[in-house]
Amino acid sequence: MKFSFNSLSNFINLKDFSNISNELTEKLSSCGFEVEEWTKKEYRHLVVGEIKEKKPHPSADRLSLCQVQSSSGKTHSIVCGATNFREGDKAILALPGAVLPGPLKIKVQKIRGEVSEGMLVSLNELGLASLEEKDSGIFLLPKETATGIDFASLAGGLNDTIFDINITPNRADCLSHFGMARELSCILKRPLKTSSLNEKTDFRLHINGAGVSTKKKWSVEVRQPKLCSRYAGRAIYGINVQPSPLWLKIYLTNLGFKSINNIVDITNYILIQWGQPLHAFDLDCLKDKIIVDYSQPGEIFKTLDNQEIQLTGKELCIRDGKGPLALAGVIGGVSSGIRSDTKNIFIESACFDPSHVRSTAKAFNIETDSSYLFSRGVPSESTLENLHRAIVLVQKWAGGEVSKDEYDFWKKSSKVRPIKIQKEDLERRLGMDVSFTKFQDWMRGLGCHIQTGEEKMGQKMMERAEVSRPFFRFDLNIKEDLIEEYARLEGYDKIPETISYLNDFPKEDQKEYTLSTRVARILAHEGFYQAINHSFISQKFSDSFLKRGTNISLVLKNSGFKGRADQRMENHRKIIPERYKITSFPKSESAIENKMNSPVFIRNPLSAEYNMMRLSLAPSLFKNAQQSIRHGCLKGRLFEIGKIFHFSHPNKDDQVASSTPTQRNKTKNDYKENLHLGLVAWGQKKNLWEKNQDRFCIYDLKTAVNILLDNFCIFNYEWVSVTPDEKSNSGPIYIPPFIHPYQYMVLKVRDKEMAYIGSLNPIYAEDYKVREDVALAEMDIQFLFDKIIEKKPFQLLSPFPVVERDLSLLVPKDFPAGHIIQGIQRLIGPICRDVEIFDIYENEKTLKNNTRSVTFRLTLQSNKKTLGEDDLKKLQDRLTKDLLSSYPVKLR
Amino acid sequence: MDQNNNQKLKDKLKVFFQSAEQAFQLAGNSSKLYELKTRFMGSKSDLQKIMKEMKNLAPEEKPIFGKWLNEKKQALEESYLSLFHRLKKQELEQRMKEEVVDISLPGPSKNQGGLHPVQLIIQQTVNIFKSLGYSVRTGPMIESDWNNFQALNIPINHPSRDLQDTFYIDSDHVLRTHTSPIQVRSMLAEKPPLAILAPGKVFRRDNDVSHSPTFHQVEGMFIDRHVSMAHLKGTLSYFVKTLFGSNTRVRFRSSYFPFTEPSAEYDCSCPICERKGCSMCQHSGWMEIGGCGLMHPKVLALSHINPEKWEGFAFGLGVERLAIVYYGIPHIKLFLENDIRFLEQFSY
Repeated sequence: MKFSFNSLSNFINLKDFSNISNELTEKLSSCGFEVEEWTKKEYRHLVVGEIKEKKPHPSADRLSLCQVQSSSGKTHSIVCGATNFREGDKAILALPGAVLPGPLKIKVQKIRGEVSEGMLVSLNELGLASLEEKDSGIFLLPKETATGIDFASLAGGLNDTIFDINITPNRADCLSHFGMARELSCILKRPLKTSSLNEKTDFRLHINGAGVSTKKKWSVEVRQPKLCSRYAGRAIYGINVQPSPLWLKIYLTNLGFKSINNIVDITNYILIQWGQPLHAFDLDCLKDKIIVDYSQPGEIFKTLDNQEIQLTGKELCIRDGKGPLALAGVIGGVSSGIRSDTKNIFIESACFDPSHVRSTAKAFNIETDSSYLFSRGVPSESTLENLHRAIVLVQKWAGGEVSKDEYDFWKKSSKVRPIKIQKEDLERRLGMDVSFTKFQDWMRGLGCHIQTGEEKMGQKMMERAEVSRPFFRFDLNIKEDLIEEYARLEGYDKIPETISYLNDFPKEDQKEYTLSTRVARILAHEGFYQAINHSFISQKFSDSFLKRGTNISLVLKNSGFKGRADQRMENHRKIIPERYKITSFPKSESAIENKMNSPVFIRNPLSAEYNMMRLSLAPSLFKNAQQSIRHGCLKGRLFEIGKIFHFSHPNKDDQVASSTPTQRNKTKNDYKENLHLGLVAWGQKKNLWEKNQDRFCIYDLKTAVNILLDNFCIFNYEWVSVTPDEKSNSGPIYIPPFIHPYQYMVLKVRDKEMAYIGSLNPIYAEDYKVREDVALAEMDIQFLFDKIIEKKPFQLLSPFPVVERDLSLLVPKDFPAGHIIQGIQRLIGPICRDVEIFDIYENEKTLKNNTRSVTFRLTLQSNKKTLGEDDLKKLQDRLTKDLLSSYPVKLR
Repeated sequence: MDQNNNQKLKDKLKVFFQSAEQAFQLAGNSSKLYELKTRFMGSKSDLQKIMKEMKNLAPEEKPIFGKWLNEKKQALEESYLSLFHRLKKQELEQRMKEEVVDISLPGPSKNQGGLHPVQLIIQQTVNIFKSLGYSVRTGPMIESDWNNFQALNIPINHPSRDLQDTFYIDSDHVLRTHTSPIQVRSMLAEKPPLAILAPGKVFRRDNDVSHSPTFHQVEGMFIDRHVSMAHLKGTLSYFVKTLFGSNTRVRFRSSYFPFTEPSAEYDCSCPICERKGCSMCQHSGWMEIGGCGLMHPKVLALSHINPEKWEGFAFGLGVERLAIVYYGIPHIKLFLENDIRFLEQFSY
């Protein structure tokens, strides 16, 4: 909330802070009032000028050329476009150097050939015009205003310092200048100025002798006292609606309000000064009586700012016989609003239920200063005196006759019991010595009422007190609240520092943390950088990556695709024909696809960019890669450990099992979150046998995943190739559309699909203008939770020598050579330390039979003996025989 | 005749040894020398042939002759060895000279990897608090309204809900706006005394220059028989001093959170300028880190912990904010862009 230094100074003496706002700022901040910023609002180079001469501009019909006197004898030539003044008038002269809102910098300049040494300004140019004053010409001051004086010195000083203070939701009592001054009076230990309360005394003088009765015509009835604990109001007849005095306009403008007219401005002024939202009705637009009651379902209500809303029957309204006049505490209606020709008004000062006002304001998304204040809490004790303050001002600035009858309905709330507190409570919770006298002083400073005493606790006498809060501090309820008040006023810097350790045996970390940290460490070590993306994503973007069937035609249509990629797809199709498929894919729908059928949406997303919780980490990781490539990083590896989300339809039995729906909601969550690992790799240095190939990132990813599995001691897994030519029970097999269907593999652990790796589909590569080889992988790492094995079982070290043997085979070009490795390992058994593919080559000779030569290097070692030539010979013979019979291979 | 034989054999051998010695001297390199040694002294060498003639010697002369021959052989052997060593040394020196490498050439490139600064800060924070007995807890990102708000003393339609702009999934579920619901989960699942640390991603419906809708927090909760503001301040002081250095100080400022009473915002003295004022701390000398306070008795009671018997404190810290200070990262938007050029500036 914004506070005016001048206005605060009216309530409390702050002279010593007028030049050093920083000190006040720090004082406030340490007491819980964070000052977000403070700015000086100053009018400079604006003076009162007297128009000595007004002549037509020699070369422009619409302009005049004036001589304006500023201070004794000094005159300025001014070119002016306004017509609403005569010689002898006083106006505001902006001299060179002045900066008007806009911003408009005033300087000496030639206008149509004549020099203008400044500008005569209008209210609009000062940013102070109300709607009707927008085109009212230059602003004229009363003739008696002294010529040459600073504009800023008018009306007791117009320069001000504005503090923007963050008032926490518990401190509704500080949402007004008076409230803030009251708080300052406690913080600074200085009294409020007694004169500041005079406006109220003034009122008594004014109101005596007023004499028009309204009772016969209409009445006020509060039908929902639970939601409206106090409702006061009074009518005033024969007022003049007109612009507010200049200082009030400046005051409101500085604090971010718009000056409308004197009546509306008065209600805002009371709100800002005293924290009481008021509403002024045009009395002539009210029918018979005012009723405070719920709306009728389906009723249409047109708000002051011309929004039409349909009420539901749940909102508290101010109504007359016809319909709703105002949404209680939120906003008034246009039908009974103050117009420039309004003559008779009814001013309402009330107290509405905070949470009801808040829910109404939220439901219609109408947040006003009134609803803000009410939803934080307005005390019912000051309702009436603030109404009176408003009436005094109305009489002062708008005239009129105050009605004799005053409506005041008040359902007083029950008395709050005092809070019991002991000196020991303070010392215990703050961890420091406390002076109980000081505590009492501070409490009194806050306006609390205190009864002290002593109590015998064993041998010791305990100092204790019963503290009754002042009516405006409904945030003080328990002794902890008082402890906080003492601590903040005494200063949090007085609290000492004592380290506390858990006085218990250590507990284990939750697995999700240990697991993801460990996975992250392994991948960082493997050369991957960790990415973190938003958990939400655009549904459209996500679907274009994941949704079966929608992708290709969609992407093709959007990319102006010419068919080159189509050709490439065809070529790749030829690589692996079906007959060598080692393992067929499980005949069920993919787990990914199942989740895709029930995505979780955000009800109030920031934009369509972020409307869905992500189903896969791949789309955002691809975007990261694409961005990096655009920034010139042609090679990179990223990983992300993150949650993916889907909605799991609750089991019917579960619903029956839990007793009540609310209880179920509290404890049970039908939204499923799975911890995933996503990988992306792009670009690669070419080396060794990889020279002839151009797509290798998938192998990088395969290595990374294998190392990860190895680290978690998972050895019983299988990489399975899946192609679109296969079918599952429920139709064609699912392969994520963004994946190249012939460069795709699926990890199976105990027959369950746990990860996939694939190259980027060339159509997507073209569409996103990515030339580099890109591969993506995604793995459900939730299953590692129960697999965390800190250490592998220790293997004994063999003392016997290692033997290496090479084995060259002619393998059909389209046969997955990697499978032979597992075959060899299986056939050799325990003495097989390692099998590597040492070399792959093709030449005319091998190609003639459509084969390639693959050399395997076997590393052999026994735990029991030195392997002799005989053993090796026997082994090799057996191995060759078995290999030739189980694979379509020949010896080279 | 024996005498004669003796002399003849000796002469023959003298010639042999002389020529061998000569040949060795002229060998020039170690492998040639080795070859010569085999030729002259190996099992099929002339020496062996000549030695066969020893059988013709008189028996009494054999030992004397044998001794002479051995001396000769030994001398030749020694001469060979010293020669061999000299040559070998020369050759090795030569070879090493030729094997000189250009150390200015780069080594083979390897992919360097690294952790995200958010992860690094979380790990550091966890490690520091582990030394005080804390253990890590996690929770779901889609939370019930109860866990995220109500159990933390933020009732429906309470104005303090305005403090956190919330993403709603349905009327009863939100994207967690803080990691505090993990407190609730921990209190319900475990028995005090408790010291838990809850790192994680959180979400606020806020997107401008200084706010990201996704960011990270670490929440800490400590419950024991007697817990005071002094304990809280000491603990946080321990944390910032370990992270930023022992000169770092902690400052509390009064604040309001519905789930703590008393509540405070805590700042640490700017580790960059050490309170002299710099652009990082906006010339205040202090960096805002998070909020903290003693646990509100209602919050304990709502999660079935008796506030008459147990007391607690809780604190939260903004991970990105800490990372900004720790690494000198200019703004929050960089954290979720995943630009390789950003990520490769951090290690693991």
